[in-house]
Amino acid sequence: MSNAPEEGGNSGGILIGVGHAERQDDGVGPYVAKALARHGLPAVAHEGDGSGLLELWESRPACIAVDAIGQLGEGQPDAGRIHVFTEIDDETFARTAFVHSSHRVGLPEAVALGKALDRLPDRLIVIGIVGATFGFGCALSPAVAASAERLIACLASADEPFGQDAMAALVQL
Amino acid sequence: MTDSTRIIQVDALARVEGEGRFKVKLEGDRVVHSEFSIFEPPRYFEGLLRGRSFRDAPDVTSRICGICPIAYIMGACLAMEDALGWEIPQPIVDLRRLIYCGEWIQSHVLHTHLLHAPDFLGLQDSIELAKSNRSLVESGLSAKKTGNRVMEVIGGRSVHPVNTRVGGFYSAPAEEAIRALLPDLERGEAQSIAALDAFSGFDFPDLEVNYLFVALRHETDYPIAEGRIVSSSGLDIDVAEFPEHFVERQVPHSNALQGITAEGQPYLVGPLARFNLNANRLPADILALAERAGLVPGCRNPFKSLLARQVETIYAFREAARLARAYVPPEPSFIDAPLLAGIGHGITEAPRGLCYHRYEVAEDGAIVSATIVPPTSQNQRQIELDLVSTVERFHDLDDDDLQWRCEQAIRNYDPCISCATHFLKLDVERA
Repeated sequence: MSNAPEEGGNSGGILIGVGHAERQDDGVGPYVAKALARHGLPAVAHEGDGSGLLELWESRPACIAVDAIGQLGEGQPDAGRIHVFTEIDDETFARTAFVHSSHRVGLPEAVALGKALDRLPDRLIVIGIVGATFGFGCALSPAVAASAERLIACLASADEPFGQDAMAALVQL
Repeated sequence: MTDSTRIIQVDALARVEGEGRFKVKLEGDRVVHSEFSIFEPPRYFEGLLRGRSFRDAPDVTSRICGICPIAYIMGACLAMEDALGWEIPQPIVDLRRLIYCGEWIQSHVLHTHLLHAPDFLGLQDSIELAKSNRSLVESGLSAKKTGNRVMEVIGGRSVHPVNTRVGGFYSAPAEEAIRALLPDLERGEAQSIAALDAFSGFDFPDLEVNYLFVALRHETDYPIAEGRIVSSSGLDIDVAEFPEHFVERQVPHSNALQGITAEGQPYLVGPLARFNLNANRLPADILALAERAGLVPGCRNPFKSLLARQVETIYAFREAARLARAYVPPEPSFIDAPLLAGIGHGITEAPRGLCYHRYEVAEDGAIVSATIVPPTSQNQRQIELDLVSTVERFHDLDDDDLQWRCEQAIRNYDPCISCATHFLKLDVERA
């Protein structure tokens, strides 16, 4: 793996798994981050405070943020569906996707603030995984767990997981 | 509803924590009916604590709020130590004050810079503010980072710190780690003074409310986690007397209890109350900065709570730096002693105001009963009345502007609605 965990500094890419590990599917971000860290990738779990996210990704060339999201359309039984956001200027991304954040300055606000303040990495991809249940507990629902494993396998097997090609390939998930 | 009836509705009030709804009926320029409804379900923390060890209370109650966990941790610690008769050495008291300064800083600047300031500039949110006043947002983010860092260094992490315990801290931070905070703390004070200057130029709506202010007051210091409870009507009582003077009541339209005095009067806690009751406990130069910014002792304009919050941010940076310079790791980092059955009370000044804890502990250390009164519950009735005052004072505004002004009035409180409520839906019915 070319992107080994750094001893310090912000010179490489980073994966940030956003969410709460004890709120069922909201924990999919931390679940992915911990798994990839075990594979040796620079990956951290984060509770989602926007100012903290800005600190984590600024000055880095690339960032992949993974978070749970609600259903993007009514009546769609699409738990586990992976949405890859590369167009962060999209209003639907900023305003409606991450409905389960309990903080008013969360991931979408951090992305918008980072854009306004020139504090975004050169390459940023946000991966939203539609959750089914957000109650108390550490277990992911089966559909979300399957999608998480698919994402983990994809990134863990990439030669350059934060390279342009690998990040572009995430859209195919 | 007549032909002239107008309804203003806010389905989701942004830039607060929690879910709630407000409905007001206007006849001419008079509000004839108002309801501030909190429909977030009860959270049962007091019930969860019964039967658990007294040592669990700080960590369990910390989860009440991700923004102000220290308020709950410290309130629980103080109450348990009161119940058990433990005397806490001054070095531990000082380290607690230092981590509490970190919480004040991160909580206050999140609200002033990112959530409340846009109201005064006609902007929708901090993202628009970042485009029009980049330096203000940058300084807010920088200050929040420093506040978070103080909490991480002392508490192990900034959200729900884990190094705190009844009796002190599991381990004392190294002297170098605390000293390393100093440059950011000193820079933070300077940036906060500049931000106060910027805020002083805002157009503050002209509204005076006849508040009953309630806050802690300490013999020498600006109050954070020590002092007696005082009020603007002359009350001066020990912390243990809180339940005799302040009560909570259930109202049909809200899931959260409303705090009132034993005589049935609403009251205000938080930065404006603290400032008005403790202005002479601020360093003279900081009080001068406040007055230069337009915040003078006795201020009853709720919109100027923004200034009070920012003055407290300056003070918190100054105080944190003082404590960091003087820091010597407490040895031992906590005290422990034989258990005694008892009842204990603890009150601290959370960023949003008084946060009260009362516990009864059995001889085996099990919690028999728990009572927690968060600041937003205490302010809830006053928020309702502020909205009535705001609607009556500004009823000439069109519906959109009146709605904006009402939302701004609610954000004067920086309501931690997760501790007591969530979104706000506003209906104004005009007859």
